[in-house]
Amino acid sequence: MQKHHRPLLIFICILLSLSLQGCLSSTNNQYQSVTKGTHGDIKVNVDQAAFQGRLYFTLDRNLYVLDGKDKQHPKQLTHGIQVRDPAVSPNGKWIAFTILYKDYADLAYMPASGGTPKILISGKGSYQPNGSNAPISTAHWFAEPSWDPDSQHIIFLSDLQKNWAIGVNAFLLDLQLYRVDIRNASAANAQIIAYAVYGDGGLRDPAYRPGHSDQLIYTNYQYDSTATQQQIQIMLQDANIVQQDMAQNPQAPLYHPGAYALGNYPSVPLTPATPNLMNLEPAFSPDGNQIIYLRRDDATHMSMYLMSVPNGVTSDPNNPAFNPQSAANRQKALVPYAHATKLMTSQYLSQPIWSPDGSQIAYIDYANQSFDLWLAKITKDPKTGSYSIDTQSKQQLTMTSSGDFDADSRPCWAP
Amino acid sequence: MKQFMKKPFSSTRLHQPVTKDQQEPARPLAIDEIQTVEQPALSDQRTYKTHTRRSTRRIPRWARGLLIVLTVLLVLSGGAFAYYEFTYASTINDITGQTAIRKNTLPQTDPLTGRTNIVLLGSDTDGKGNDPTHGQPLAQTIIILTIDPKTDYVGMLSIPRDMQVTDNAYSYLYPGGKIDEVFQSAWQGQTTALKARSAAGHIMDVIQSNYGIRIDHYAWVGLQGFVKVIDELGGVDIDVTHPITDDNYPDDTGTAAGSNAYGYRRLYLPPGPQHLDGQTALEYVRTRHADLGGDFGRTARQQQVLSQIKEEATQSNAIAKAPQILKDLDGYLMTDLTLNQLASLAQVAQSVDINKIDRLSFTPPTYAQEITNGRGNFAPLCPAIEAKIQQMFAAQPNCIPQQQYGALSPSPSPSARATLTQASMLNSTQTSASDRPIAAGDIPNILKLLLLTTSGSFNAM
Repeated sequence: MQKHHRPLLIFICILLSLSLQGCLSSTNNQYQSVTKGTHGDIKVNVDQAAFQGRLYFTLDRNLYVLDGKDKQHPKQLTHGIQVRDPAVSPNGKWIAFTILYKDYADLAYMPASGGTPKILISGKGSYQPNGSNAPISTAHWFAEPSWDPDSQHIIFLSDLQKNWAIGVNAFLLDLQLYRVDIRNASAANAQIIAYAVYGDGGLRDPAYRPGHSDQLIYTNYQYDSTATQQQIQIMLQDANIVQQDMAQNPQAPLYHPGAYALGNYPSVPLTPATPNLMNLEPAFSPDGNQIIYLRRDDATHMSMYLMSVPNGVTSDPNNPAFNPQSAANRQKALVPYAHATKLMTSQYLSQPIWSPDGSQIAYIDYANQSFDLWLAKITKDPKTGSYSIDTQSKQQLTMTSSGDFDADSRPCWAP
Repeated sequence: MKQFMKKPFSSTRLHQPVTKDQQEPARPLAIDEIQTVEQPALSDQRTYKTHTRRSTRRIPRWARGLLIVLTVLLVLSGGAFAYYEFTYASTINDITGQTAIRKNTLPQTDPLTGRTNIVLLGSDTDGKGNDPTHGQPLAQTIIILTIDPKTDYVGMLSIPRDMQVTDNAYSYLYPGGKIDEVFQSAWQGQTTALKARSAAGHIMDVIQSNYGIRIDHYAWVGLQGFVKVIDELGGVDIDVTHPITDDNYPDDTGTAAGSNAYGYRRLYLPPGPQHLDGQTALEYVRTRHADLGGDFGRTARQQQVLSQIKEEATQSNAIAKAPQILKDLDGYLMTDLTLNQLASLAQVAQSVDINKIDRLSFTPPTYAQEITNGRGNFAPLCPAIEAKIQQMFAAQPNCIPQQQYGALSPSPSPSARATLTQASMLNSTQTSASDRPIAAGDIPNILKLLLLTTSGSFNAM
């Protein structure tokens, strides 16, 4: 009798192992290998993770576009160059990005469907002697281009005017915000439109507010007054105020960069100036009325929040004496922050962006020791007006390994 | 179950003594009269016989099983020990216990009980005439770590690489030599280990003679070793706290392609969570220019990377890479500290308040001034330096003032070497033997030493 039991037991074990194998593999079936990265296959969630439009991102510094209608065939748009921060123009025709080299970067653009990049401004330079001091470099960085609503101007981050010494006497390497016409782009023609605080790396995440071409948003990095804690804030600013100030006060502009309180800035904080409080990476909703942004909770947690954008805090066309830095105006700008909604928490979150129709968000999350692009549906309660993430809708779109997905490069979502 | 064969009783009757009266007339027995005696089958007979023999040995089954298990464990553990020793021991012995070759032997100090001064030395080793095996690396970073376990005082003193020193061993070659060149000039010997021990020992002697600071131990890192370890772990995933900019980062690792005559390169690291390879991680922990947070900001970044290294080193696939990680460090990390002393150092570090570490650099204008000799040398401002040495090291200082040499002194070249007691250096093979078998905590301690020496931050321990 025991002889007959043994084969039966083996047969049951085989069945169980096959069943388990099936369960395990079923979770990966929806991921299909679409290309190869440096550290392995690049997979895309072809069955689930549905989205409309086209997502642009970089893998191993190559620019890719993934069409929601054909996720199995992402298209590689660049080869042999190190690309970062793609941005599609509002009219959908162009895509701007930066090209990285050892000591500098180039600002470039090309047709959104691919083609030969055209260099708008090259950051190439060299080291020059500086007496007994360390040599000075004439090379420049560019980062995070973003388009004007007219699809003919680009705003971008750069250290173009490092050593610019109006009102200060120090080396300024931190990236500031500039604007240039793509039809006539050069370092000399680039206009500065937002200043950085010295010594913490400068500005990040610039974008125009949809529907408000006179407003810009960006993240401002700075140390607190003790120079030991980070104080990272989201700022809203009039896009023209710095150039207007320079035109009106050429000898002694009102606004200028500096260290800590030594600088004078026209920007309005949307998040508090508190040491060790870090709110960053804002992204406007398509209608310009909401932003999603990130906050560092602690060393191992980050959260994504949503809040409304205050109106009338950067300028008042009916009041020439409007002062964006007034206490009352700053207080007004901080009101939405107190009512922000937490959407999600993870170990690492970065680069959130909205879908063109405002129904979804894409963001970079960290799972299985890898950074990848995720999607989630964002919904608004018609009764309360509050926003939330549909937890069930969170889907990992890409599956990569060991840094093949460039988490330091801002992706872009076009219709 | 035993099968019994019915075996007919022998027709030959058992011979039994029969009395005269019991005798029956002899006649053949009918078949049904033949008595049968159940006997075991032949195989069972053998088992029966074996069982009989076994029962006489009196070794219970459980004891036999235990003996087998113990034997297997003994064989496995012996094999594992042999594998471990074979795989790790030689590399760890190449890294630790590498005694510095010095003029005089100093008594050993224990970081747990007495004041201990350790010089941390970092060299570029990217192959531009400075790889450890065939070249002569400079010591770009020179940091003296002083620990007083009685008062929990920890100090870290940086001596700028351009500080001019008096070096009696090489003074006839080029007066006005810098302290980083002292290390380079003494990098001599038949093996990389001998070269490092010689260079470390000499710079320890020069520091002592120029400042009066007793140096008990050293740790040296070739920066390429740090890059290799990070890459072996598959890189590190870090949330870069803020954008990093630096226009004057030393271009001393990686390939020579694209390098400029000044030896600098530019850095821009965007902020946020991202994956860093070894080269980028090294830049992240070393850069300090254009960061208003200065050394404090750099320390915070180093702590981030260390935490990530620790976490990734405990992953199962990383444990399997431990032999390769140690091999990557072989020739790029060296110290005279033994495993026990390293463990003591790590233990002391646990009780140190990192916010109370006394950090200082002998830089202008307070502690040095530039010598206008065209070489970019600094001369020490001895009164200020001596006061600080006394306070930091509880030692009697002896700062040697430096002259300004008018003629441009030639830079040392590989051929311009002093034959300083070559016999003693080349023939000196004495190292401290590994003081005990390798323990589980030794590899993490070695990684901590790597980061300490690379970053110059005691937080790494």
